[in-house]
Amino acid sequence: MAVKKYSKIWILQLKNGLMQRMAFKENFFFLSIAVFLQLVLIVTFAKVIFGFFDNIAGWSFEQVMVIIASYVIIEGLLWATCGYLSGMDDNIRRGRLDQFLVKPIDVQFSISVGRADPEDWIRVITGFILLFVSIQGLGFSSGFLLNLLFYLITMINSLLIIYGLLLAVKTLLFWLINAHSLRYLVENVTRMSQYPTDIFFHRSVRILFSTVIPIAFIATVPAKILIHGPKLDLIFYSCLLAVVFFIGSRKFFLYGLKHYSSASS
Amino acid sequence: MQKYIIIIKTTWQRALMYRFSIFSYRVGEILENLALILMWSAIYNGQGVVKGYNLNEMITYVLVGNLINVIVRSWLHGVVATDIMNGTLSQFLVKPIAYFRYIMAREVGRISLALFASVLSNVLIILLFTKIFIFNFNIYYLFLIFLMIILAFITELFFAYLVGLIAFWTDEIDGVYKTIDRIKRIFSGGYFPINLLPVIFVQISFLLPFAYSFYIPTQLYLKKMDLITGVKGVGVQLIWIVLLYLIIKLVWKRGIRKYEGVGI
Repeated sequence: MAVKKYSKIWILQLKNGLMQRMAFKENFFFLSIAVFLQLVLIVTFAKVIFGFFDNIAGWSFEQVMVIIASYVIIEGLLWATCGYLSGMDDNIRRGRLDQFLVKPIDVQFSISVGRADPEDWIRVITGFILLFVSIQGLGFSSGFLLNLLFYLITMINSLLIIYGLLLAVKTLLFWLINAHSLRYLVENVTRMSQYPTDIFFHRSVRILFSTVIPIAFIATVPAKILIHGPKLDLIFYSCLLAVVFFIGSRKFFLYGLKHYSSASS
Repeated sequence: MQKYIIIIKTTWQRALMYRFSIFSYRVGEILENLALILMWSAIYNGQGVVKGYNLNEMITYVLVGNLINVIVRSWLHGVVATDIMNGTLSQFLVKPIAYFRYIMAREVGRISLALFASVLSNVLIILLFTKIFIFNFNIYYLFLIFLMIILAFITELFFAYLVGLIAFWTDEIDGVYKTIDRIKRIFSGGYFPINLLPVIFVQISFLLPFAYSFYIPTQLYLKKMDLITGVKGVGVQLIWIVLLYLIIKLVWKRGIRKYEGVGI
């Protein structure tokens, strides 16, 4: 019952977001081009590198494309469904969170889906196209469907991990008030996941990027599972991190909410 | 002159109200640079030279280029567009200070503070890579790079202002700005040296103003470009500054006729 209710609200918010964007059609058109150009930039970069080198930390061109495609899909989904939680900044800074607090739905859900960037669905679609083309280049193995299933599971986990990280960082706004730079910081951290995390040679860095800031589990691990097959330890840690980050960030958010002060409604 | 100094001081005070923002932006910059350096190190992995760049030169390219980019970049478009869309531009039309000069002074104030903090963080990264970083103390090259940076700063400022003025005709400029930003990144050499791409890209980049915010000053620093070519580049920058200034005047004249002051 609750799932049905929240799903309905979410779909309505997505429709609302699209209607708002389409009110300025030219702007929507240019935003879509910008999203597409960003993907072109990333792929061109990889293409240039592989024009001179065989591999990056042991990853071939098609394998790196799988990582890039996975990252693009995750990032695209975060922007398309919850606007990378950008709406939180203004709502907290201007004290406009009241409208979410008085509604008969979960505050975290309400804030998360309050804003969505529909032009980023183009990023998701092109990400999937890139993924499909890359897999074609690698060839389908006999156990591909099983690999694909676990890939999708780990991708869902990646989404939960980044969402949790983002929510936890944004919760700091309850104390900092004005810190637009936080989103920039999280984006820069998660952007590192578009490269194979095997480039981080130092053990301490690898541990950091597998636990505290688990960017290894955002795109590299799902890509490894899709290409080389499921590995129980990686799947287990992916699920564990997703649960820890999602639940942990929610608890932190609810704690931070107690420190919110309105600026009159 | 006094009024512009006051504007710069006020911008400093406003920015320093939220010091954590300044800190976290710097952390983000450091992480971005470190990621690129680690990636290039992994890519090279003991291999020698790629299109004339060894690993030390590539890392120096990334560090110097990002330092220059941090100095010259501008987000003026958002400020200008907001003033037009919210109607707050109206107050400047009745004040004894030209909006263009006010906004330039404000941007100098904002950039000077960000510059100070960014230079510190970028120098910190350079110190971490002292053994790999290539130092260039040639006074002629450094002077030319310094001049190029100042002109690139003015060009970026004018460009951002021009994009902001689009708000006279449209209610949203985000899409236009982001599209231009992506094109800028391609032609500026921000991700990798442009000469890794086909020659036609390099030729087009030399004619556009974007490469002077990253690629060309960095090439001068690495002495992969001679001083004469650098001076020619300064000429191109001056042409762009004059051109952009004329376009701004024209766009402002047309735009102010359309301005309705909605929102005040």
